[in-house]
Amino acid sequence: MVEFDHVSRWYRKVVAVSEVTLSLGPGVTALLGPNGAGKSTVLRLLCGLTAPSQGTVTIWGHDPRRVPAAMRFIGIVPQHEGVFPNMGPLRFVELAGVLHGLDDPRAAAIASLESVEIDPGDKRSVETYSKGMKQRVKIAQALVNGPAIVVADEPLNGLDPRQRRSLIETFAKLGEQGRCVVISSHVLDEVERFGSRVLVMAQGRLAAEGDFHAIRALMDDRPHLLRLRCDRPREMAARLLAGGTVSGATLVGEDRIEIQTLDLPAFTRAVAPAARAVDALVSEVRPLDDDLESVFRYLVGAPGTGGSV
Amino acid sequence: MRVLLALYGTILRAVDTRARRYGFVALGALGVLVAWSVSRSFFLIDPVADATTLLDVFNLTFLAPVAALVFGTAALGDPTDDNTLVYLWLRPVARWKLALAAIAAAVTFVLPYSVIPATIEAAIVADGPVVRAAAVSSAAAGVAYSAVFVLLGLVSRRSLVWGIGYLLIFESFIARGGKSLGALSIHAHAASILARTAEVKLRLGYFTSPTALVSLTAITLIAASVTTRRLGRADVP
Repeated sequence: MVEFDHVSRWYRKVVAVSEVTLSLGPGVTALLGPNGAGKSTVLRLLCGLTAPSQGTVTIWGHDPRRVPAAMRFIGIVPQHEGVFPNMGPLRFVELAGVLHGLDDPRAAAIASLESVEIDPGDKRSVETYSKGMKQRVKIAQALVNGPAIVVADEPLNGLDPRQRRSLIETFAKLGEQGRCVVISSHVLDEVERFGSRVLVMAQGRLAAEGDFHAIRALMDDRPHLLRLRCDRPREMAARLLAGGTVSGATLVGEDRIEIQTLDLPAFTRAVAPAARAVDALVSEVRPLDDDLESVFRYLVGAPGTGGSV
Repeated sequence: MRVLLALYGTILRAVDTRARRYGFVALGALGVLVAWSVSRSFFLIDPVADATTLLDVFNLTFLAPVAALVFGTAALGDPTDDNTLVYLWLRPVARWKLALAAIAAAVTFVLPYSVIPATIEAAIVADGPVVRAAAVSSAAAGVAYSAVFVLLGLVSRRSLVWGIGYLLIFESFIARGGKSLGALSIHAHAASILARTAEVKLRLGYFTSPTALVSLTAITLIAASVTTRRLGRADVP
């Protein structure tokens, strides 16, 4: 659906995006990265809101900036809160339907607003809405024409937990319907629930791409951190270190050890024999860094960058 | 047509603020008040000449261009500043429709705020062709200025500053340097229409009415065309 071919974008001397090559298809893709990593620029390039300084962006082979008809396929949820003054939600979403050339933009607007739990009959201006309600109206206008590509820049901002859950389900459903859904977010624990495909941006570059767990598994040069709970932690730690599958072990309580290992499968195979050998009762083995945040910290945490999220 | 009307209506509502409305009603009323004072003046000898001078100085130099500057730059400048342009731009809509809707929205405000006071002022001070001259010249100036300032609002974040500079430096100063410089001036063409229709002499009345009308139409079309082109290439916030 969407192809980036060696795309770079710079603003005078500042490089926002550098040599990004990727392709996006059906399903949900999460775009991750710290502030200034180039996530928003990638989304803007995708929609044609800004032109690449180098390289090409195509949607089904068309340059979105040269072919306005390509906009028919795109629904965008911008990050900013700007909405038209003195305009109610129905009129706001209906306008999007009219500009998309829908036969019955009002009916489509009502359906779209109802899908995000906004009352189409509300006469108040969207300007006066809370951040969360504005966000939902913005999502409704993006979905009004049933676009094949949905681009959402930080769509979960300002939403309460129930709304977030509902929205994650909405995006997941869109992905299951075969739409290309691209979402940028820094809410890592929720991004993990969007879907398995992740693009990690760091310093304008695509730092990693693919399934979240696959990315994590590829990082064999970084120790995995696990917590092991048992009744004889010292003996257990000594046995595991002696076995060579563990590169570090730290006692963190009377019954807990934090284990560092470079070879996760070998470690999991070694736990049971070690417990048997020292007569220990293991009650828990739990990964401490198998989440997006740790993956992300590792990928962007090159020396000198600070690696903060 | 439905798309064009939707764009037009949206921009129209966005630029219509209470401050702008009251401000230009007050300025129009000020012009009418000045015209009334002139008509009552002891020194009023040639009503037609005095009416055209008033129209040239107040309406063509000040009211019409400033109204066009405010509404024209707001038409695409306000959506750019408040980040709502994306909701109009990221649609399968030909760029010329967006440019046309923006110019039409600006003109919708500029014409009543400039033509009505000009016509009333002319009618108060004199009568006959000067009333028609006031209406036609301020309307033509309003449309051309609106198109130019819509473009300015799109290309510059400091459009008001640049617009005031353009009006003060080029339209009020450089354009008085001769016919060839006046050919690029909206004010000179509008003043020419005023002078020829009212059959009086004005310093900037270099051109015949048809020439001035054709030139103003050309300026409007060029500005609309460049706006369309810029919309296709713009970075939309």
